[in-house]
Amino acid sequence: MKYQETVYAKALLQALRGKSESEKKEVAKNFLNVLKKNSDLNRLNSILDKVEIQYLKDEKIRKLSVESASPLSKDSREEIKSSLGGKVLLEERVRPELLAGARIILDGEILIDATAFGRLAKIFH
Amino acid sequence: MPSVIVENLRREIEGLKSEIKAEKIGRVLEVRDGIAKISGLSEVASQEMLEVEAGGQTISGIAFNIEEDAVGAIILGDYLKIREGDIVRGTGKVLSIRVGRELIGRVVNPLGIPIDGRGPVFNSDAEGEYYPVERLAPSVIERESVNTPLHTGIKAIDSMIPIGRGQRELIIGDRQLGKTSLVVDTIINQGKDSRYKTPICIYTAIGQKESKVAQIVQKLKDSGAMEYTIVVSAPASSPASLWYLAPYSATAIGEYFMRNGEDALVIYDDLSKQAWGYRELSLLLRRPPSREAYPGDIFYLHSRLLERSAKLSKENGGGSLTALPIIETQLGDVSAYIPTNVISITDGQIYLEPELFYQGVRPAVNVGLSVSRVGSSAQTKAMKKVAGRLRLELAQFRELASFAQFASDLDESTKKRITRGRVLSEILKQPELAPVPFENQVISIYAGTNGYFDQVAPEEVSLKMSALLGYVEKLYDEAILKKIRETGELEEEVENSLKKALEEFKNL
Repeated sequence: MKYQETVYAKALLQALRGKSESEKKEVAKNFLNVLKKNSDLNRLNSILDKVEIQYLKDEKIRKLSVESASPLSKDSREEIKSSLGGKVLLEERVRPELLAGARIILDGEILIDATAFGRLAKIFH
Repeated sequence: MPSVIVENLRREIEGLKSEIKAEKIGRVLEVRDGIAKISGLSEVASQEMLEVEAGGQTISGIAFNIEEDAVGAIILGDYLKIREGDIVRGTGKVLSIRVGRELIGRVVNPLGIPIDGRGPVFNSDAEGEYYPVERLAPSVIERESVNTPLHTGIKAIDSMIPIGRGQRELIIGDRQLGKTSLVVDTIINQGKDSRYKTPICIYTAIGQKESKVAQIVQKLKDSGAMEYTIVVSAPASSPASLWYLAPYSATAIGEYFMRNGEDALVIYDDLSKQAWGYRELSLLLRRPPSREAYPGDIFYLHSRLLERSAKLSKENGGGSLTALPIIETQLGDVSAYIPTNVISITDGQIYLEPELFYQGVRPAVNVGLSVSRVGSSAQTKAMKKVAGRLRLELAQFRELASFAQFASDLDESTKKRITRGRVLSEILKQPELAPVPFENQVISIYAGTNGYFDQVAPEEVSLKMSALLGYVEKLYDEAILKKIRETGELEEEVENSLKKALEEFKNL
């Protein structure tokens, strides 16, 4: 492991700044070659996770993952997006096993659980 | 299903306040071999309990490594159910175990969950208290000197290597020399020792075969010892995290009794396996290995465990927690890493040697090398009186042991010493599962050191001694045995009765 994932992420994002589409493709190819040279190609997935986190941070975009028992209605979606203010990246996932309600994970770090599954788990823990 | 239960549950579900709050979480990045790497959880504290949402269940873990971008945690349960991406919550608490008198007679795992198939330990929320598994040892001011004996029922130990309540005495030796038998006999003897209050015994089985643990529980049941014993078991098939935690959980249980003014005895069988378990976890968590691949804090692992055994002062209840850790050596090497560490922590050690074992000296205690740093302040006056000469005479015998082969070519005094030594060695032998009450020990040793058995052939000593004890029990129970038991002393009057009884027995 030559460099930490966050270091790679920052370097890649800085390299991509202000480049045209074709130049970005070049940068991406070079990045993969650098990883190969440093024998860090097997960590590509975790590095890309960090790239996403860093990019969202740089652009001040909040990431919301919503897991709900049934698909979100258009109104709910708008309500969630506007509740935070600013730019929001919304990821949705339908999981029927949550029985009812929804839960939201903010920036991969904060969980707000308003599902029936969560409430029942609290009773029967 | 009774309607009362349904009613209570309905009330609970209705009354549950809709508290939806935001909580900090992490996600599992990697999970393998009982450990997990977790991203997020930016505000977790070291040793904090974590809960992993794995499928439908919640599996506990403890945060061990706090790294820059991730948390390394050990999993207290089946790690195979955890998947990458599972959500992990911090609980804000450290690992605690529920303790109380209801644990007595039960077999539990290091998390307090019963494994003897007899249902839950605690039946209502009001019972039991939560004691943290890791806790600071009592301070200097809270303690008192050890002053009460803990009788093991083993003649060689109670006479020359006496153990007191609140002491830590290490039992060390190779495999198959009787270390576990020694501690099982000690537990059984606690029920037979009528002079002192019976301590609550906690037997910790670390990494042992479940069949062996079952056999031990059966032996304890058969001798009535389960009425004051708790067994904490982390069997060989359980994860290394439970091997690591078992001694700490057992100590937390012992501390409950100690803090409530009672005496407790905790046995760790054995700490070598706990060290292996901790080494496994540390290596998996990529902590730097040091000597013999053990992590750098392997000494601290044992020192913080054993320091929690103490005798508390009267102001703090006067309770005590005695520890009998067991260490298994390889080929008698007591100067290896872990044995030397634990020897420097405990207040003495009992060496079991293979040569003695195969010569037929069982328990195979090497009295010369074994030591108890608490010594005679943990002995009854009666025992002190008879044991002093015993030690001296055995030491002299050991010096002359090599000459014993040429018995016919020696002078009278040497021959006498050798005979006496042989007789005393025979007296100190005893079978398994037969602990001897201390008053009987006093009589046996008195008879031996005062020459009443010098004319008896070594093979007959054991039979003659049981006959003597039977004789004293039948005819002199009130005058001798009861007196010694009640006063703990060998008063002049009692000694005279004893001399009389011995003369009578000799002439029979």
